[in-house]
This record gives sequence, structure tokens and C-alpha cells, in this order.
Amino acid sequence: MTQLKSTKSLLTGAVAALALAASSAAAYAADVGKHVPITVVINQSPWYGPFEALAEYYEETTGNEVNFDVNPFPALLEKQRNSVRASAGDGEFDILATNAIWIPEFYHAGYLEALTDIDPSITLKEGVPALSETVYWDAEGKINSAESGKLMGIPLIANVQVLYYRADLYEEHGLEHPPQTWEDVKVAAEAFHDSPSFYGIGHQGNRGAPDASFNFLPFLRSHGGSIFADEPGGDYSVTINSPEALAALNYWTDTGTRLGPNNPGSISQGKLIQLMTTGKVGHAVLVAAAWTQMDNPDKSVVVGKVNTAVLPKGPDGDQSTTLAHFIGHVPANIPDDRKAAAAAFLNWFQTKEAQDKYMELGGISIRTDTLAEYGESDPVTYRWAKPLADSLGVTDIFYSIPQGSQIVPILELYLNKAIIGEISNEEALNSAAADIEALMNELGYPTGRLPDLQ
Amino acid sequence: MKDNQQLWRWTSLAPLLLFFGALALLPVANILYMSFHTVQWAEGVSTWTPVGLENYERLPKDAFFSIGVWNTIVFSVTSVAIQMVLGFLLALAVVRIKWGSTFYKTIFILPILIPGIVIGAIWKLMLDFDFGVLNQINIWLGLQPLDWTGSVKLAMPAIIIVDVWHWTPFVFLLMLAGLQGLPEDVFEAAKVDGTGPFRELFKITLPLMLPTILVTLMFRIILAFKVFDEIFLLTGGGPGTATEVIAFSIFRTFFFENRVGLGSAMSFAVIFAVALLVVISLAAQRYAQSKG
Repeated sequence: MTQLKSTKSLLTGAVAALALAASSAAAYAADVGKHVPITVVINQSPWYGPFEALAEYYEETTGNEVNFDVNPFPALLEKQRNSVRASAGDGEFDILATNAIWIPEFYHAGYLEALTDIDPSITLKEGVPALSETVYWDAEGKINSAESGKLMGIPLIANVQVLYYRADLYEEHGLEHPPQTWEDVKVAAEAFHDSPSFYGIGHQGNRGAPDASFNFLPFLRSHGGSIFADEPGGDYSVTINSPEALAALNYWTDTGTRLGPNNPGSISQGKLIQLMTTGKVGHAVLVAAAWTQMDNPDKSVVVGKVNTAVLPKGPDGDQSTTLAHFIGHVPANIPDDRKAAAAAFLNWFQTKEAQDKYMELGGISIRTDTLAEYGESDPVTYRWAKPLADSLGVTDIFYSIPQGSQIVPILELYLNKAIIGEISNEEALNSAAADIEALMNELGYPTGRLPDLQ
Repeated sequence: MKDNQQLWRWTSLAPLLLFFGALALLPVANILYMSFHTVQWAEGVSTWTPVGLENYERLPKDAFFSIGVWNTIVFSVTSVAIQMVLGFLLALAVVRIKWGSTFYKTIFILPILIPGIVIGAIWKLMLDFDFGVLNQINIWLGLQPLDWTGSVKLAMPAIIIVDVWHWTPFVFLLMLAGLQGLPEDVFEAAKVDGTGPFRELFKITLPLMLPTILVTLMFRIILAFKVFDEIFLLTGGGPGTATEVIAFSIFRTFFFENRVGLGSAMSFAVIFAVALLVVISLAAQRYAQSKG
């Protein structure tokens, strides 16, 4: 009864706070000014619905029109490329929802206009993460840097990998949660595993664009491994075949095959989400955006049973999550009035008021302060919010070079071959290292590689 | 007078020929030109750097392309062979039945009417390891579920099964049209002579059907060589490189990796191979016609 009361008062407080937030948002929105209609090119995703609803709210409160061009993820890149490669003034879209793995290509190619060049008063607001400084770009130094670069865009979703786990099973087995280390995860997965009706853990072992490599990266980095010796420092010596990388791959393939589904080589992100929501798997490393499925009774049989956590630590306490965020960018090849309209929308989007409204609409806020507040005010509904906010402190980018997309198929191939047992883990890493070194040589980067693993 | 007619024919056809020539050849010429360059985008402009034959020299060394060529050949030969046999047998059965042929025709051609993306979705669900109907049947029969799209041994056969299901109706339709167009009197004469059904099939039907069979074979081989949607939707070229085919390699190189020079070289190599297939098929067809 006491719990019910406190929940009720919490809810009342939250509703009052939200109403206040909504009214201030409306008041703020009036300051945005009148602008020409804009079109956002975006992908169909679990977070699109709330984002579209928020844009409708922006339209209602400002009278400014926002249109959407919605695409499946694989088609979005080419659509954006075609638009930004058009002649000056002919760009079709005003805001590009650019995925983390395309950002280096777009920055290096000079397709985008800095927000501060459109409106010098725009800054990244406090509480909005710079996501490994990927919102900034120094066109001279060719680096992401808040210090020397310009603000290029505003995150639309701070999508990073988090650990999804079955909290109910942890409690059933008397295990403490959330798990702190990968070893804790393995112990729990072993306890839960009852193949083929239930799998302890699932990994994205599919060869995709990307699946296996994206899923493996946090294991690699938390075990002290990396693809290159010092990518930000310009040392592209390939280190994917280090003993640390081997330890990570041994963990990934061992848990993925011994404690995972019987078809580890064909588990894509969509399939892994499906296994989680159908109550078939105990742990999964998935993007935060997948949360929208977990507590939805129309899509999930594990409503209220799944929790999220910051990805666990490796043997030496290292933690890492890979960025899979989308940034709202303004193309350089559109007329000035459309640039101004796009920048105004993005600037509005990052305000506290807009982000509160976004949470209310079922979205995933980009602001750490909003996430923290909602996580505290309703720790059940928003139990994903704090782990997400905490994860933003341990982010890593997939790659920073503009030709990074050529590394992905190499990693995908050998990781997939390793998890299906076609080749040994040592052979997978040695082959990947050799192919990446050859590619980097061809592209003219200073490179080399570690001696082969035996 | 004859010269004037010739001149008039060519003059009246010329605009259309030029139009179609431009339409067909310009993209190919563009691909060819691009295949001798690397293209990079910087500061909002594209830079074309001539690299000679470098992109072509890279093809045999490319891990995905060479395996893709082999897989494409295996896929095309196997699936088309099965489709040709099945399509011919189905057509033979339908042409001989007295009643219900319209019903059977409608049923048999259904798969070809379904869009590729829907076929991908249907089969993705059917082949799913955990929830797919095929594995549910296996479990019901007391067998182990099979990893249809995730096992190196099963992935290519699974894709071939889907392709056979999808394209056999195409073969069936062409064969049926061919069979219905055969001269009745030859068969009546054979019947009068007391020719048995097998002798009739091998000595009369098949030789008479040879031009139709060759045309169908040519169409199917060309289409099979370009297979993309089934691979893209069901396996993404995996597991490993078990279902990597040329069209998928080109797609990834062009659109994901953004290597348009290398992608163009791959594309031109495929265009060349397909054109070669057409020439061989036409020569075979002409040979068959001359024999017939």
C-alpha cells in the first residue's frame, strides 16, 4: 500500500513536471521563428515513431513544417549520398540522419555545413553528449575535436550498445545483478542455459553490414584489444591479432556457441532482438534503441523481466561500448533559408523542454540530465535510462577513417567464420590482420601488423 | 528502287536506333570509363584518378569476387538445371491432362507473380531456425532442427530451393507455350506407327522442343547469373562466403564500401560474362535450328 502511494505521488509529480515542461517547450518553441518547410531523410527504426511525433509537436507549437523521407536502413546511405553529391543549391534533403559509421565519410568529403556557420549562436547544450566528439569536425586537421573543430550536428539518438539481461532469472537463481564483468555474465549464462528452449547468451554472429564486427567490438576493447595501435594518433599498425584480441574472441565464440543459439552464424541484430523479446535468450549486447520493443506487450513476452546495464568490464576492468548513434546534419548544398530552418529545428531538438517531451512520447532522450531525472522519477518504466546515461561515458567509435567501411566486410567475414567454427580463432584474427594491413597499404596509411598468433 | 527503300528504312529507323543505342550503351560506357579510375569525394567534389588496369588486376585477388564467381556458377548451373527439368515435366503433365489445366496453370505460376521482397520475407520466416515452419515439421517428425541459412553446408542448397520455387514457373510457362505449339500431325502419325510414350518423348517431343528449351535456358542462365534479392534477403552472402555471389559483391563494393572504380570493374566483368553467355546461347540456338 505504501509502495502504491509513493508510486502514485511520484507519478503525480512526474505528470506535473511534464505538464510544466510541455508548457515551457511551447513557450520556447515560439522563439524559434518562422522558417521554410524542411525534409528530414531518416531510416525506419524503433525510435522513428516518437521522433516523428516530436516533430509534429514542433509543427504545432511553431507553425514550421517538418516532412520526412523514411527509408529502410540499407537504402538510407545511398539516398543521402545522392542528395549531398548534387550541385550547390540542388540538395534534396535539409536534415540527414547520419549513422555513426557513415560520419567519417561525410565529414572528410565536405558534404556538410557546420551548424555554427549557419547560426553562430548554436552550441551543444549542457547535458547533450558529444559522443566521442563526433558532433565536432576540424576540417583542417581532419579530426573530431571539440577544441579545434566546429559543431556539425546534433545527436538525434545517442544509440550505444548496452547489456540486455533477464533480471527475473538473476533473481530466481539468486545471482546479483546487474553483472559487473563478462565473467559474471558467463556464470549467469551457464546457469540459465537450457538449449534448445533457452539460450544463456546470444551474439550477433551474422555476416552483415555490420553485425558480427559491431557486436564483437565491445568484447575486443574491454579485453584490451583494438583494430589499430593508435587510430586517433595516426598509427594504423594493425593489432587485431593481439593476444588480448584473441582472449576476447575466445570469450565471444565460446559463449556464443556453447551458451548461445545453435545457429550462431546467422544471428543478426533483428534476430537477436526477436530472441530476447520471445523469451529465448538470457543476455544480449544490443543497441539502446532496441529497448522500445522490450516492454511493449504487443511485441514482447518478457515485459518487466528485462533490464539493461552498462556493458560489463573485461579482465583488467576496461569497459567499452560502440557508438551507433545518428546525428542530425545539415548538407552544404541546400539554399540558405533551408539551412537556417534545419539548424533551428536541430537547436530546438536539443533543448531540455523538447527532450522531456520526447521522453513523454516514448522516445530515447539524448540528454543525460533528462535520462537521469526520468530514471529517478520512475525507476521501473525508465529503468533503461540510467544505464544508457552511464554508457555514454565509455563510448568508442567504430572507426575514424573515411574508408572505414572497407574494413567492415573483412572483420565480418572472419568473425563469422570463427563463430561457425569454419576456421580457428587464431586463423580468423591473423587473416583479418593480413587483409586489413593490405587494405591500409593500398589506401596509403602508415601501417604494419603484429606477428601472427600461433 | 531497292536502294531507295533501304535508305528509307535506315533513315526512319535511325532515330530509334540511336535512342536505344544511347540508352543501352551510355551506362555501359560510363561503367567502363569508371572502371579505369578511382573516384573520391572531397570538399564536396569528386576526383577521378586514372589507374589503368589496376581495378581489373585486383579482381582475381579479391577474396569476395573470386569466390563469388565460383558460387554464382554453382548456383546458376544447379538451380537452372533443376528448374529446366521440373518446368518441362510440369508443362508436359499439364498439356496432357484433360480437365483442370487452368487450375494447375494458375497454381504453378503463382510464385512468379510474387515480388522478390515478399518471397524473401516468406522464406526467411519458413527457414528460421527457431520459429520456421520447416524446422517445426522436423521437430514434429522427431528430427533435429536444421540451420538452413546459417550452416555452410545448407545455405547454398537452401538458396537454390528458394530459387527453384521462384523461377520454375517461368520455365513451366515457356515450355507449356512451346509444347502447345508443336504440330499435332507429327504426334498422330507417331501414334499410328505405334510409338511408345518414352520413344515419343525422346525422339519427337524433345527434338521439336529444342529451340524453346535453348531460349528458356538462355533466359534463365542470364537471370540466375544476376541473382541478388534472395541472397541479400536470406543470407547476406554468408555464412562465411558460402553464398557470396557476384551481384552481392558488386552491391557491397559499390554501395557500402563506396569503391566505385573497383565496383565498376566487377560490373563490367559481369556484363562481359553475361554477353558471352548470350552469344554462346544464340550460337547454340542457331545450330539447333540448322539441325532441325
